[in-house]
Amino acid sequence: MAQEGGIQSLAKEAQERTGGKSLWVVGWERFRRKKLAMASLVVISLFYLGGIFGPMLAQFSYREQNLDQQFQPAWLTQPLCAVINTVFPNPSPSKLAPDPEHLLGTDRLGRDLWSRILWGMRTSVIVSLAAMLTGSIFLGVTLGALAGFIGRWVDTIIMRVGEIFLAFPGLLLVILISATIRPRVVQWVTGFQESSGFSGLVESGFVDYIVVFGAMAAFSWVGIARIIRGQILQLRETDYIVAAQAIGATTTRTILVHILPNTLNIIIIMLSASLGGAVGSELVLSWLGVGIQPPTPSLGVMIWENQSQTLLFDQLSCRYAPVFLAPSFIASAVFFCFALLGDGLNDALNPRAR
Amino acid sequence: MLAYIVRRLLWTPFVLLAVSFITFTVATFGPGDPVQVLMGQKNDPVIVDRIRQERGLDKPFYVQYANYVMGVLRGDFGESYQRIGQKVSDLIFSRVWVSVQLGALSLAIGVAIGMIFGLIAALNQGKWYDPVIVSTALLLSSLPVFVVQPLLAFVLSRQLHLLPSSGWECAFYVGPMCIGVFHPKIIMPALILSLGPIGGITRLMRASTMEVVNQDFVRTARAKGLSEGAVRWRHITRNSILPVFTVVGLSLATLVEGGFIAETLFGIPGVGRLAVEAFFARDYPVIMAMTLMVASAYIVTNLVIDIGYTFLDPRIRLR
Repeated sequence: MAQEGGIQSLAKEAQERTGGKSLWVVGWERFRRKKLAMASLVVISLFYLGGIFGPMLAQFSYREQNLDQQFQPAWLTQPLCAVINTVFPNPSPSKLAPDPEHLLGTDRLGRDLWSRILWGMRTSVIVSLAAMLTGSIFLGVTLGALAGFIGRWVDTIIMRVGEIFLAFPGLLLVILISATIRPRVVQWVTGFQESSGFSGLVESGFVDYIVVFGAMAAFSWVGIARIIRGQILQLRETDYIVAAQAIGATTTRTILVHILPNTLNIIIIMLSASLGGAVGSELVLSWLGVGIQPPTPSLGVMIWENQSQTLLFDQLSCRYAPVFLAPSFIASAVFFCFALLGDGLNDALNPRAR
Repeated sequence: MLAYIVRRLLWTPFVLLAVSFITFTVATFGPGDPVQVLMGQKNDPVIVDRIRQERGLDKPFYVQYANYVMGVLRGDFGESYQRIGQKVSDLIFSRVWVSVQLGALSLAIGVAIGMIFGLIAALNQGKWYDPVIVSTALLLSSLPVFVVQPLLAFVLSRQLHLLPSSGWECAFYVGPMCIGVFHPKIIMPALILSLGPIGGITRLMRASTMEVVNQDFVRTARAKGLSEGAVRWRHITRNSILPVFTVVGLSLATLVEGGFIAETLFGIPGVGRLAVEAFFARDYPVIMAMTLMVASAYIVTNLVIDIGYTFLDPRIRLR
């Protein structure tokens, strides 16, 4: 009884110290105090909401061309442009007046820039979510848990294969996979379309999404699997797991109820990083021309199309719509927010960083 | 320790073998037929068959792979598909030196800036510029190379005429080797490539400095009356630099990937640009050799860092 009383008083003391809050409440409170991380969480959520619902709000289609309205200046940035032009007078102002219909103006084919950006965000959102769900969550967590829990030869095989994947120059193999697999997938989907009567799958960019996220998912599991495995190996020896197993908990129950919740903080940190990484990889692949193919809109393709120096001058002096600046700004802002979010999550949730 | 090194060294060939097998499989079953590329407009089935026989392309897959591995062991990576008659090893060898110079300079700049940022932030914890420095570092490393390049080239080259915007030139030669590090053309690409590692190194340097600051020996150093400068430099900085070297290996991956893009954008004749060109031409021998080379570089760097770490910090024991 004396021992039990000791444990109870210890538990009481611990409860008083934390105010009876769970790890999650404490973590959330720590996180909420970090204004930068909170702000970046809001920006990232807006990016994802924009990607999901934006195309419904977009007034124009991403491929609707209007050749009398090329490079119409942005309507939204007019006040800023007025300031810029008082300091640096524009030698040859645009013949087209800004129009509230095109908030960010139009690109070289007269397509509405704002609508294209929303559609491009959708591409990033779909590809990154799909890569994260399949690669990091499904493959990574499952393989990591298997390696950590079963051990022996399963562990050896999974970790050795992971080592091989890590030795690859990631971007190089993703490019290789998407460059070699794409024609096969196109062939396969076209065959499927002809036999089943479905149409528009290839045209809608569906194939590009599959190829890009598949190539990325194949690589993104290694990091998270290693961490999960390490955590499990560590936790497996702790008293409460031994106790759970002693009273007859099955392996599945031990993993799902006892181990997984205790590794969730690390998983959340890793997922935020892998989501940001997937958005970045899609951008690089599309910019290089092996990812999303035009006319399917993607921020990477938009940046690549408009990176010439002459065009940049016209954008900075507000003669043209910000065809390079706007997608670049959005992409950079999202990456920056992912970095800040990762930093904040790490401080709030990582037990080793306390 | 010795057993660990031997085990790692024995395992390395198997990793490289697996890497080569995967790339070889993808290359063999991927689109693009090397013989058709060689033939160009003229398509004579008799000649096609002869070329296939001469090059061993009519043999089964595993024989082709075995031949390839035997060739690689002799240092023969085959001939380029795109640049007919040129050996892959010559193509890579003539370019690797350029990329190494660019990568090393960028890494040095990035690590130096990151360490200074991290040190300043950690020693001024709680002041307003601590979060500002960390956020700046994160911002710098989250800017994509292809977003910074047009902007920087616009400001520094086109408007201010300060730096050349592209290309590669030798400042001087050491024997046959072209030293481009001292030529102004390297400044802009090196600056842009150095941005990538800054964020991670700043964060790590800050964390490791904050750990060192609270150690007993720092208090002792202050207690025995050393000047603040001596404490900071001799006792804090020296001890906090060590853990940062482990991420230098991780930065290598960032640099290689950034190198593909930067070399293409700046027109630098390095291996990164060669690789990107090879991809678009589906020049598989070059792609395979590049993959093997980068994979070996990763493995060797990580091994050297692991081993070097135990020499620098005797508390660590590798098993």
